[in-house]
Amino acid sequence: MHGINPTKLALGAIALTLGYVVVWLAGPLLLADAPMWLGLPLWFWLSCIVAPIAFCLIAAYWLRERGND
Amino acid sequence: MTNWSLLAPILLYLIATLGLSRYAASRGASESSFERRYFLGGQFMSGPLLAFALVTTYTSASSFIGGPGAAYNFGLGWVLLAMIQVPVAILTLGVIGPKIWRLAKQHQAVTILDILEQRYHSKTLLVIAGISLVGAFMGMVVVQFTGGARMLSVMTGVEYHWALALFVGTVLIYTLWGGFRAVSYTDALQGLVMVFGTVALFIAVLNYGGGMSAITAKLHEIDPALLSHRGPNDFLSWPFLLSFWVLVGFGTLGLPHTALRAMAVKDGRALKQAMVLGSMVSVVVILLPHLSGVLARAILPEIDSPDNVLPKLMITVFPPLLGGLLLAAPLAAIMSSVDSMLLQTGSTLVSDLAGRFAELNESQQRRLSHLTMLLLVAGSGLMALNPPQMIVWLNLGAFGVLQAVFLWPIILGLFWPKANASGAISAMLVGAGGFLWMLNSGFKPFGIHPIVPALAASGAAFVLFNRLGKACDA
Repeated sequence: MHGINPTKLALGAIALTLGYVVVWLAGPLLLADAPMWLGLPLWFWLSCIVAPIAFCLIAAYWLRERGND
Repeated sequence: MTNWSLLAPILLYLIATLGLSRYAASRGASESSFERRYFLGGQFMSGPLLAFALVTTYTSASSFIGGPGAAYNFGLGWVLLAMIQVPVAILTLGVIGPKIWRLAKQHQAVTILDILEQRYHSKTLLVIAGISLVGAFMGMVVVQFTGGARMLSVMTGVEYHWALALFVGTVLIYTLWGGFRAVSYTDALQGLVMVFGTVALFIAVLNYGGGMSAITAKLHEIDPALLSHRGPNDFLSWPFLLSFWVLVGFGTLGLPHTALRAMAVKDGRALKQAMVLGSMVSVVVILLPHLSGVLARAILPEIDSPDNVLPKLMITVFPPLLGGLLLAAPLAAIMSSVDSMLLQTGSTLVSDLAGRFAELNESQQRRLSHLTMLLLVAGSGLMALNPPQMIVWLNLGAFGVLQAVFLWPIILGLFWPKANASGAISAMLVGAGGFLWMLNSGFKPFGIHPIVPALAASGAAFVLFNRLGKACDA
């Protein structure tokens, strides 16, 4: 597979996922008692909407065409 | 009584699926062996095709029927739990993708068991892995058949056994027709249907309920815990939530039916595209059905079986013909998982087990593959005649067995040059045995899911017994 360093790609995928875990955890840990916003609790916005969107955007930037390694 | 305005669009969708599979099969490469052509289809998958095929194979009845049903009961906390699954494409393709792809290319491997054989050179390991895979997939296929048929029956009024026959028959025909290639193309179509269906449903639910704020205000009146991450009666405890990071997060690296997809990717560019696109598709098809399941509690407060919440919602918020068309989305989710499981069960029995102990020519392979598939479908269909109630739990049980058996042998086999068959066999036996024992006995240390201690014990057994075995060629 040209342009791919398997070890670097694996480490990057794990690091990105761990980053997602941290933001996912931050919602209920830090915002459990925060008020609602646009009909949903703030913890939900952070963990279930911001975290996955940020995860996809960072993945798209990291894996953009000019390569990751 | 049969509701034809709902059934007709579903029948049209099933016919379209059969048509696409026939087309995909006719485009299949003819130069390779039947085994490679039928069970893998070659390394042909583009980024978008791989992304949709991977995510649709992973998301199943549990994500469209059982999952939203649980979200209906447990509220937003269950959506938080479901969102753990978002990194599945990045993890599967990023961590094991390039190494599995290289091994598949080097050794003309067709199945995950081929990869394990090339790595460990052990028939005992192959037999243990094969039996576990066939057993777990049979269980999962029964769950999927049950979910699909139950949904068809409840929504359209067709009797359960006829709904089962219709559903099972369609999957059987297109899997037999085209093998892996047809299954991959139909999975991509099903992925598009799932994305479109879930987005449309979510918008319609918001519209029907008077907006998000109005719906969640009703949920707060029913039970404020539905808006908390802990759920009613603090059901979703931290140990339970974090266990799911193993069961449906990092543990998915050990799922043979998703790992197999990485073997068929065309090149590195397609792999990277699939990692990004697959994650985006996951967000849509995981977040929206589960969130719709929670919101349904305000729209349909009395419901017989929570598993039917999404289909019921579809026919409540849409006119019948459109509702019928959108019912294709959960059906697509189920079919796209079941076809891959059937194909992999067939390839395990024919290629990995029968083929290792007897020389089979191409014609014998073809006949045996088709016969095996027919028997598997008939057996699973018969078992689905007596369906379980909450299918999400059954699915998670079979899911756990696969991870307990395959996770460490795949990961350490790819990344640890000293890994050998003794370590891998011990990990498989300790992992599966420990998981099944804990599941049956209800043993949950500190409230965590049995998969966590089972995988910890499996990993420890691998390292310990690896010292006793001989090193294999990496």
